[in-house]
Amino acid sequence: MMVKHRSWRIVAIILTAVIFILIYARLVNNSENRLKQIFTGDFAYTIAGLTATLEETERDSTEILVQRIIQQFKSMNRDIQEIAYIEDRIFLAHTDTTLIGSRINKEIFDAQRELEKNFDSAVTAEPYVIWRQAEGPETQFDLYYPVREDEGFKGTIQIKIKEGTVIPIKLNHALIFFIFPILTLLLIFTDRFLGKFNTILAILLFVLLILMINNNLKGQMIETAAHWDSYKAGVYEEVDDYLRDNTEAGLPRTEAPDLELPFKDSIDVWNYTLSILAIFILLFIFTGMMENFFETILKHRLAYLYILPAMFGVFLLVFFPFIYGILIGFTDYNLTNFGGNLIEYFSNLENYGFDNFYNILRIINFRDYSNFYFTLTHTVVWTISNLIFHVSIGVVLALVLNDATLKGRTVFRILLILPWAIPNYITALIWRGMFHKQFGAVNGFLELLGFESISWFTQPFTSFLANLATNVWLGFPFMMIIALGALQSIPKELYEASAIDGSSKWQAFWNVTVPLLRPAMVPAIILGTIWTFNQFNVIYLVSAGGPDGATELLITDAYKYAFEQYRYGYAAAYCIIIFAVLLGYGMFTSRITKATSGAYE
Amino acid sequence: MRNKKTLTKKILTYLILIIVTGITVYPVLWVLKVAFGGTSLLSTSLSLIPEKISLDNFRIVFTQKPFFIWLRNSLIVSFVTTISSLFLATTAAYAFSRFRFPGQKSGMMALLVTQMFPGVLMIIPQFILISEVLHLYGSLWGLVIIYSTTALPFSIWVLKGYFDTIPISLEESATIDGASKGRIFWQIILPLSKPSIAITGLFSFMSAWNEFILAATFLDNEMKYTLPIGLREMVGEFGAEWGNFAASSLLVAIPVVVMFMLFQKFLISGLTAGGVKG
Repeated sequence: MMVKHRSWRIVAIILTAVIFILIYARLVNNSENRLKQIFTGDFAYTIAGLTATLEETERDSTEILVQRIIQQFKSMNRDIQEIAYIEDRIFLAHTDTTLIGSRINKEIFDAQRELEKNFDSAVTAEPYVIWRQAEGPETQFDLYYPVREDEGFKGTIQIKIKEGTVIPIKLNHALIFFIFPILTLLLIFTDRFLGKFNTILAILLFVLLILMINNNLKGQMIETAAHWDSYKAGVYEEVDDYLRDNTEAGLPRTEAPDLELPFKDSIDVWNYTLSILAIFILLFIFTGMMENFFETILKHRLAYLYILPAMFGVFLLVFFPFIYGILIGFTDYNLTNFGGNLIEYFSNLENYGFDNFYNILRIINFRDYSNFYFTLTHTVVWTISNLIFHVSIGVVLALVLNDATLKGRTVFRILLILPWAIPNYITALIWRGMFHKQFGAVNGFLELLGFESISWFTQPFTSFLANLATNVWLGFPFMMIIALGALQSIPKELYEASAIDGSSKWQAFWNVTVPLLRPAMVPAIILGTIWTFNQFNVIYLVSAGGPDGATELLITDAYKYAFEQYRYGYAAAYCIIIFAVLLGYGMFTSRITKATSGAYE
Repeated sequence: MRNKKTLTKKILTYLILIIVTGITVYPVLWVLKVAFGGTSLLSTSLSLIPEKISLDNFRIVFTQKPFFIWLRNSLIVSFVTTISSLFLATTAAYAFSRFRFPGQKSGMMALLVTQMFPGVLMIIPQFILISEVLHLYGSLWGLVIIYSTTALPFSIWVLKGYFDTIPISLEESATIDGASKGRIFWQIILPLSKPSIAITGLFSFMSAWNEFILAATFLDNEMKYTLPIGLREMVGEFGAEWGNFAASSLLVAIPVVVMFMLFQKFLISGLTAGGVKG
């Protein structure tokens, strides 16, 4: 497709540019964030309060820095009795007379002893080192390093990157951000010469873009990891010095804690999203789709304006949770990792897999009530038997009520839709009471007829019957109303015509009523099937799935996995399977109805 | 001969109706009996008249439980849900019915597909969205937002079907008379669609009034409970307090049933047929 209007090209170019700038900004921002993330690991006891930053003019003023640290330390730790600052080292005396030193070496150790004398108390000389280091013109780090991790004391490493630090951008950044847009522009403006060929070129470029961004992110991670290694090496060097000094001084040897990269390699979801967005935008340009897209929106702007609020709500609170739920289904998301960092958890591809589905579908066992296939069969049987009763009772009642000569028609109709009007959780609870072994009206009725009373919820079959009775009671009015509506819309002339043609009442029923009832009933039945398949309240409140889960539906099973066992991932996988079954059913019925509806037209 | 046949048919008809209606009404009357039967234990008697009529159960519900607070919460949630979802649904349904635009069919299809989404699957993400993003955990507004949007697909479908039956000629003549699209919508389509709007409004109201799984997940404070949660809380694992349960369920169900009955004449026409007779 040719691009027709220049204005759309400009819009497209601007959009592309904006997206690239966003990716760029994120990449830069991200490198910094990553470094910050690495060097500010949180431990149980953080001495982040000790961080002090220096203004540009005071860059080398260690004195100021230390004073600030001391102030902070004092304000946060009232146990500190005295703080000494010698050269660029800090000494702190606790009330328990623990002396805390910095960058301890032989001289400092001696100085510490001095200090100890002054305080007239015993000194343990090594809780942690505070050490400041300047590296190059661009970065400046304050490193607080815990030398000993006693019980009850935990320290932290904190390397602060000075504001304004620039992480150098490599050549492949430049490729993406300068060469690629230029190529894109070229393609856009040369499309009339190249014709269809430019689409192929465009696709090649997209592949290139993906590879570049991918490599770029990987490169960036390697880069940060390399930074980390060098810092770590520096830290260990210091520690080694210190430990050696310690040993020379005859103090007990302290093990340096293991330093680990405090983040996992993960793919930046946002960059990928943005890249994919960019790719789509470019595709739009090249195929002319975008132009059409905007023209369509403008042309039908009123319609889109009308549906926008509703669709926005539905997408945000129905589709988004649905998609998110599906994501959960592929993870082992459960009580132990619930409440952590969600974005981190769900952006880590390692957490995804098909384990849930495999575990659900693997074993086929119809004797085990908790087995998936047993529950599926039960759910299908449940749905079919309910629908048979719903539709037959509903249609028969509709036919009866459709007789205009019937006296008390309105009264009957009002009474008959009563079950629909009553909140169904109340209905379910009432019916549970009705099936109560001792007080229930159903057993009372059985006794009246001379039967023995039944303990309904101890046998799978009777339990099923109790559920079925409840749901039939609950569901037939809907079918009745739908059928009644359809019946009333059938013109009388059709019956008169068929009577003139000499057909009997029965023939008229089959040839006029049924075909005209059908268009209204089919959607109602499909809807009813889905509702019954997922009829949570009745099962949950009447039989509670009992005995031993024999009358669970797939949906109540899923609910129990989610909210009784807190296996969210497993439950979500269950729900995905339910959805797949219903989707398959929906597609199947829509094909059937399409195939057969022609017969009546 | 013919008379006799119609007579037997009549008798049969009434017989069916009376039996079915009897079965239909019996549980409701049974609840009435339990509710007014005082706090005594239940009996196996099938009789629907309690041995002594007492209002003890209602008294307990009113005085010992925060029933009126729950009622107020439920009313707030249900009314706001109804109004907001009606507004969103009528506008969207009108567009789907009257405008021809790309995405129309797929939009309707997408709405239909949502009806298949298993609710349990959505609770966790919805919970995260409401509590983490919108910070509405424990607030009634979180429920309102969820209820209004989840009721939308059904409402849009029903309303769209109804709008389809209103002849376009009406709008065309209005356009000739100089009415704008907005005016046509507000002054012609909406008044003609009263039955359907009444029905969808009723369904939105009922879905909010009756819902308890989400409410149980989203509300943690007894003073914020809606009626279903309060009611469930009241009976707990419903063993002993049958009387209280029956009394409160009557109180909860009555408004809905009354409304349903008031609206029921719209049920058939509102759900299916059009408002203007050809």
